[in-house]
Amino acid sequence: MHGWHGGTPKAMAGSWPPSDFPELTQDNHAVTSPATRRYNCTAWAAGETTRKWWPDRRNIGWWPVGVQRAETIEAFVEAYGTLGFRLCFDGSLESGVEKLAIFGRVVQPDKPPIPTHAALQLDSGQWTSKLGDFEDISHAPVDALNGPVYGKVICYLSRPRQDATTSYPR
Amino acid sequence: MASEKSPLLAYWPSQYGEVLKVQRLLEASIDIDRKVQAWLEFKNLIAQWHVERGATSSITDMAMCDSYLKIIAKGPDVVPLILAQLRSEGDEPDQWFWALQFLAGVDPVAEEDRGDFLKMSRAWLAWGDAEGYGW
Repeated sequence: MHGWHGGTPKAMAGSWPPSDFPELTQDNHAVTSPATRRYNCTAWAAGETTRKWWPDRRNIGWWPVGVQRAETIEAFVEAYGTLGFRLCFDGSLESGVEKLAIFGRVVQPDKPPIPTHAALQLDSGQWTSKLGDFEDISHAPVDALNGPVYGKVICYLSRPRQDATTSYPR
Repeated sequence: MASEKSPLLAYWPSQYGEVLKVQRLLEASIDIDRKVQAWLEFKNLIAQWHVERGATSSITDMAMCDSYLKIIAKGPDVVPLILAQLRSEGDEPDQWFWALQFLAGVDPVAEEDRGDFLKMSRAWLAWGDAEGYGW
């Protein structure tokens, strides 16, 4: 489960390369954890902090059983579908609804974007993201992470907001 | 034969025992220098890799960085260096598993431990110990 749900963030400086997130400013984000390699954004958005989720072809990252192991937006939607998330219209804050944004980047002009990142909406309306092997942050708006590494939000998913003590299915 | 390793020895009659001893010491130090050199090159590529991969979360993108591919391109000789690096990273292991799988041609990680880099690291270090890898 996430160790942080939108309370007062710690005053820490992030260690990621600023050029990766040109739209991230001091005013639109706060660092909420130390850097770690133990989990990645995809796992963090799914509520996990002890393993990395990724559908790489060498079977290194964990990926939900039965979900296609492909680096596509569809596979990511399917993976979060195992946690009850379904495609929704936008990332606006709705009472009792938990939303998730999937980012993607176009690598080849004639191909669909590849998934790069997932961010989870907190009940405060802010978003929480793990930045690669760097820190977790809270940020608003969600597209403060737009840029050369994560691209932009491709789609939003939602589900009924979970109780903070609920365990996610593994 | 020492003379096969070093053309320099060909100039010296074998009865000059002192020279042969010095040469053996030289060869030992050259061997150490090669190991140090390999380690320094490896560490340099790791530093480049950390810069190159930036804030990506993609295991694939991390493995496709030029510096990571250069490490793989060094071939099986780099496996002991990777294992030593992995051991030094302790509870925060990095993504060495792609390179190890590729170079070793095996995968000692249990299916249920996929994505858990700490457990994956332990599995690879145990494999390295069993295979007699040391650096």
